Amino acid sequence: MIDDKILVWKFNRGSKDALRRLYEKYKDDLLGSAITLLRDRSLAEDVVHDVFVSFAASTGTFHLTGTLKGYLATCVANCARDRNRLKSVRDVGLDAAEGLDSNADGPVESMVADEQARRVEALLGALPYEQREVVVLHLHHEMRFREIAESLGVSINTVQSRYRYGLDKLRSILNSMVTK
Amino acid sequence: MKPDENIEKFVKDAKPHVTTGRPMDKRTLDDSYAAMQETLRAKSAARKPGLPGMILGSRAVQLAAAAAVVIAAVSLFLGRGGHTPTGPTAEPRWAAESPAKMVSMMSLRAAYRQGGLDALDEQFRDTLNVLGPPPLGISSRELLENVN
Repeated sequence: MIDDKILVWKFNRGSKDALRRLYEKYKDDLLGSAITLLRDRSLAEDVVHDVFVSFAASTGTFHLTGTLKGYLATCVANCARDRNRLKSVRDVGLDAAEGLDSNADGPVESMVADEQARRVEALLGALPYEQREVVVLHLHHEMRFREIAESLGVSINTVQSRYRYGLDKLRSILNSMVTK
Repeated sequence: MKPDENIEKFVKDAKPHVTTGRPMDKRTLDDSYAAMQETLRAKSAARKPGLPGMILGSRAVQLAAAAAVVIAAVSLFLGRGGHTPTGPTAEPRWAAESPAKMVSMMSLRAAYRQGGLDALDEQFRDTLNVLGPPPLGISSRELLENVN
């Protein structure tokens, strides 16, 4: 976290190098979340691009209160939500998992991990956007409920409800797949 | 472990690992740098100095001020005029900043004004290359030896 504080300090003083390092640090995680939320890689890349351009324009005035990772993840979620409202999201099934890599060793482990990631992607795609958003921010970006609530501008109870209903729905989908 | 028994772990473990492509990186960084430059340019344009600012910002005034600082530093370094403390209860002579330190401040300032924080970083890196790795276990006495 101290690294981020130093980089943000430099960024606020116009350092392009600091901006580049922040981008390289978080770009993959943010793209992954955007793909999970939008299930469209091209749209996801646009969202990450817009978030960083907007962040870059805030040089000199950016004030970090929580974690930078959480802040950027929330920006991606907000931007993705706006994109989602503008157009209907195509259910592209497994194609949404295009470009997923796995850091598991060995071809068999890699295939299993990749397959699991694809399954989870498809499952999350079945959730309403608000529930998917909270699940991704909490489980993939390790943001606390309070942090998510403040970032999204809703109550913590709302966040916790969305999360609970989201997990319940995931559980019931998995159960129905197992019993078939 | 069945996924429905620990759905949170199942989702967490299957976090997607994607990597961005070079075209996306280039586009994002180019546009981000442009946005940053635009913000800095707008701020600089908005900060139009008043008459005192224009006078203080002029090159001639800055050079004169820098020369005055160097002359003052050299005079102090060569010794204070007037009272020369003597006796067992005399206060220690005040140690002035060396001219070398004044010069290094000026060069850092020039680097910053020319290229911002990135140029300052580069200057620090060049300095560190010249100084080499720090000595291990340096004592306080050794540290203070080079202060004056």
